Amino acid sequence: MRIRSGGWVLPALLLVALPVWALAQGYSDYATIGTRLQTIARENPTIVTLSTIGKSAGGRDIWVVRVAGAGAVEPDRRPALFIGANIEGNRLLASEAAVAAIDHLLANAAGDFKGVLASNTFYIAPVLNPDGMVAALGSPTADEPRNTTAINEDGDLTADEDGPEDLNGDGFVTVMRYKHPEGTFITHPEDPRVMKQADGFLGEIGQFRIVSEGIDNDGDGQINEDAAGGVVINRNFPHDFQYFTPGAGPWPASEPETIALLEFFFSHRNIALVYSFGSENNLLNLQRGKQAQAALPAKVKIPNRFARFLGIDPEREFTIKEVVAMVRNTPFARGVDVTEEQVALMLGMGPVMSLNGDDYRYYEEISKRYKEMVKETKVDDEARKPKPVLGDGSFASWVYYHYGVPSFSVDIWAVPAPREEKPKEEGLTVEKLKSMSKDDFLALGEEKIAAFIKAQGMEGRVSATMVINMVQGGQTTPAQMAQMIEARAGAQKPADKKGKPEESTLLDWAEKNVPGGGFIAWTPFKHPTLGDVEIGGVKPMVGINPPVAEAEKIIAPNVAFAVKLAEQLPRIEIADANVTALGAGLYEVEAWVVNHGWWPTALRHGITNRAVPPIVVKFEMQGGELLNGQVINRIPTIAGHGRSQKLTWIVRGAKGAKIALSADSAKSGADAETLVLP
Amino acid sequence: MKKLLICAAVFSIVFVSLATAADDVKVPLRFNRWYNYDELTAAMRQLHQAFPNLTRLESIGKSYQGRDMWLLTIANPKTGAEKGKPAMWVDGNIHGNEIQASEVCLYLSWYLLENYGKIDRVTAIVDRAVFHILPSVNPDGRAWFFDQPNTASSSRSGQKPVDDDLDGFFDEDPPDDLDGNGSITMMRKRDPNGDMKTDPEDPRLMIPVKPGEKGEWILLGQEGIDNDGDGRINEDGPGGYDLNRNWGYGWMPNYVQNGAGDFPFSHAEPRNIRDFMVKHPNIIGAQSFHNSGGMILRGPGASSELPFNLSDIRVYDSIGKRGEEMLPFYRYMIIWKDLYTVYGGSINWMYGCLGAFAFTNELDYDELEDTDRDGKVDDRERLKFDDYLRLGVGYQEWQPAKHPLYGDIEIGGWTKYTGRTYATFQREEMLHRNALFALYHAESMPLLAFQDTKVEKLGGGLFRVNVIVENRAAIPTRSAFAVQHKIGRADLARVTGASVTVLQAGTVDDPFLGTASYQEKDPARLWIDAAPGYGILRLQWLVSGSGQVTISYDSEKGGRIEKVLELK
Repeated sequence: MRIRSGGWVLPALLLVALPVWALAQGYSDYATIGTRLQTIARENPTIVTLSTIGKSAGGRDIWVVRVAGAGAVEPDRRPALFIGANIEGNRLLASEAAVAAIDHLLANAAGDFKGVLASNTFYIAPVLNPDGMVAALGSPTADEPRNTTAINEDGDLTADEDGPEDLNGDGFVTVMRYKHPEGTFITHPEDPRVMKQADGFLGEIGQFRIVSEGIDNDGDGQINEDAAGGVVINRNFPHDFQYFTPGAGPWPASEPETIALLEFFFSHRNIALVYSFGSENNLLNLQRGKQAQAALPAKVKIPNRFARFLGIDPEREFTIKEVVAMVRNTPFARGVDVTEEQVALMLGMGPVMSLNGDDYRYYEEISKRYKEMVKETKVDDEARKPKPVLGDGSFASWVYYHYGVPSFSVDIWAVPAPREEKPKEEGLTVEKLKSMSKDDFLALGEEKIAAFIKAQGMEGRVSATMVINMVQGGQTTPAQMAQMIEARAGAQKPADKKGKPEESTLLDWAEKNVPGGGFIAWTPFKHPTLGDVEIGGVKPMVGINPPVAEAEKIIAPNVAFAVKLAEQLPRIEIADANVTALGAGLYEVEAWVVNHGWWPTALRHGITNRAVPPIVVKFEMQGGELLNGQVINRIPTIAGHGRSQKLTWIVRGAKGAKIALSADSAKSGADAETLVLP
Repeated sequence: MKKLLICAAVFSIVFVSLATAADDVKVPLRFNRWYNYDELTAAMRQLHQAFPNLTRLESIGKSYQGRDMWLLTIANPKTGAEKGKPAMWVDGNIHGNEIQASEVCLYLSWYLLENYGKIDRVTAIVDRAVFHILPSVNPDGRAWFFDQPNTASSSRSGQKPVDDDLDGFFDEDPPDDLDGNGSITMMRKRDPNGDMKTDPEDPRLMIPVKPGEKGEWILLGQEGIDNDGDGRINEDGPGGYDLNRNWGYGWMPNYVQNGAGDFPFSHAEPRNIRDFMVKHPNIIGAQSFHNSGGMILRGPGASSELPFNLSDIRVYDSIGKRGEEMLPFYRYMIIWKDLYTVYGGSINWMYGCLGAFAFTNELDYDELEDTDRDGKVDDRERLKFDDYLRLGVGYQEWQPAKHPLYGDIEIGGWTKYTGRTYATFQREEMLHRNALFALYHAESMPLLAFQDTKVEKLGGGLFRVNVIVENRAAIPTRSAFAVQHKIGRADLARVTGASVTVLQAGTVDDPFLGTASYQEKDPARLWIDAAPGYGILRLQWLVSGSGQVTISYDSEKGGRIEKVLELK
């Protein structure tokens, strides 16, 4: 099958209804999903294989459903799309979306997806964090759900001995507040439901201490300091792992959930793209990397040992581009594609922390299409807030940085932000800034720019003159400034903002959309060691998932979008292989390896990190000899949309001699071709 | 058949050893030879059988190829449970070719056991501490080195096949022992355009030609052919990873740290050790023996690792500098700064994630080959040493050979038991010095004692108990790094008694003024960050009641002491 490489048709499959039975009964819990998967596997034995790739710390199965139709290549060697969900544990919508993806594929297996199911494979894991999901639905707390690994958080003789309790028996673990001379909290002046840190500079005087609901089980004077579990699985992956951070685990990949996933990926090198349903969103909020490490330093010195080898001055500073050019001129670089990332590694600058520039262009395109889909289907509120980039030690960032394939992670729903009052038309906004040219920006004049700086709460930190100089001097552009402001807003603690606290949005929304609302009024309680306290606050799990009635319409277009990505995966073919007689029994053999997919056969970073092996083209001949050319040819990558790589050989042989060419790859399929000397 | 031969070999060692044994030695192991995996296992079993009351022999798991990883624990159960004593971890041979590291471990085991009850310092350390000794971390690599043709440097790796050249095939183009002498040596070819010529001082060696000079030789690398026909030679040999880059602290993926493996602890051997160590939180000292270079190495392994705390550095310095005195020619160094960057090394994890004071020791003895005494050893000197003192067994003379690609070539050079391992007559002293350095490291582990205990009667049934806990060794009961990053548990000090209530517990701020800081809550359990090395803690309790009280100080890694006092 030839795959369309240009067009992107928004799926007609939106029309296909999802099986409603499941959602009609509310969100599935872990056990229900298990039952659903077993039923699916039983009813579709030829297409679906259900397997367990490992067990959680709590001994629960981590399932992967493989969906693949009959095809020329065995499923575990076809270019594959991995859909993973709910690595957080509390993202019930995400798990539903993953199961819906299976249903969606099966419903159209004989129709629209016949082709893709014959040439590609889907691995779908609806619950990547079973312990977390059980914890989230059991007696949830406001914390990120953890697995059941016993962690001795308070460093005493026992682990997990002092967790929270639902003291007032209202079914929720919320928060206790009590008056204390050292209390630092007050009720928020804009919203009495919410507590805030008193700001002494504003003349606010702290009154309350706040602690989560529970007693001091181990009698050490601290409350709930060593709860049951565990590790937050989505912080336990080996890229940018944060040591000595609560919840991250003692070292990267310390947890069975993490290891199960890593081992599955390394034993399924055919996974070519990963799409995660969860809490992050790097399609709505595409960024190249962590702010601080987004770009390589402008200039570097070359360490002595390399400087001597390159014959350059170790005292001088060079741009990375200049170093790349110098390294390309050395014997080491022969036959090797020297990249900026490789030079950064040679200079000991540590691991890559931002998307490669070439790869980023592909990400931008998918991001654009995702936003179009969101807009067209109106599932997402246009006012959804920017979120931070993929988290430290997260699965989705590991996929790109260590495994070397595209990785998208989407939350598909969030509590809608209140509509902000439109700023006056004549004023400058962050949105306007994004598309503004340098000249337009400078034309605004100092006064307007100063007003904008003030509106952004950046007064005192930067001045209008400073900004004007920077834009004039080319150190920054209006678009970069917009990005910086947005990132800063995303990173900022909501409490720092003036006006209503962020919790108000959640509570206001819950008031209208959740039975019983999201707020538990502060009610007095006699605590065994603290005495008089009040228990109340925000209900846990509120605002994490949409009301189940809305779930279906959110899931449908998102699932259709995700599944559609499989059609874009790279796929190689040996094309136009031919033999030309050169006389005297000599022949030239030519062949092209073509990539029919939209994606390249390897991302740039997949080559840098050596996780995506090259395409290997083998030349075998019977009844003749190879005079020039390689028996084994390695092609690091071939760009998408019909780009190709040419290979040539010079052979000598008798008429009828056979040449067998084979192209094999980890992630873009395989092909073979036989030629006969004329 | 192979098994039979090994058994015969083991038997003959035992037999020879017994025949030459000094009368007061129970297990007369020879230390002028290297032990292959089976011999090493047999020797450990012998030690265990001869000293059953002081040893435990266990397999902590299997290697990739299914060999047991044998660990010998040395401790005296009569002086207390293992978990109540500080423990010293000693391992070797994580790199398959670095074989004599295992014999250091074996020697240390043998020396401790044979001299228990004879040398006071040995008796004292065996009575107060635990040794966990794992002579071979990489038994597959060890077996490969002994049984297969190799260079002195092949192979560091374990034996799990890796597709080094990314062609979809695994380990398909290793070096080949073309001349069948049991070593992988070098290939050269006569060529007037070559860039090497015969060394006028020693015709076995070659030196580079000067500009304008005609050459004689081109070097063709290690012995081997293009097994897979891809136009490259020896590009995908056995294994292809580094077990000492696979540990979970500061770990970096393969493209940053060559040989790291897919993820931390992805290989069986480090994983087995991790599981053992996590279950033995009393390990506070660690030595990992390697070769070569004569280096006593400590972390950080990379500049990106979190910095060490100054008080920990002082502990490291005190041990490392003693090492320099005990091991002439060895230098005490910091890995990333003085050697090179190592991400995910074993000792980095032991310090960074477990809080153990850990060294890598790069065994060496080649300074005695420095015939011109300029502090450096070059190939000419090595050859003299080999000619004069080993009568030429370490060097394969160049011999003509036919190569399928290169045609007429010559094969020759250093054999595998040169360069990194030492001649028979040098071995025992090298093993002894290094084993005793590990012993000194163990002696530096916390040694707790009550220096002073005082009960003051305050009247009305109230007593003030003042206690000075002393740590008489260099290593604190918890590293400053562990305290800072909350690794492991804090030390626990208690006063308990049948008819006693603890009202306050804390530390003395100023012994002259008599001021103290009491713990805010829970006086029955006084938590202390650590007892400093060569330092004291002044503890104070206010208790009411009467009769006997037990004062205890209980550290996860530093041991446990207690003393009974009378309230009167």
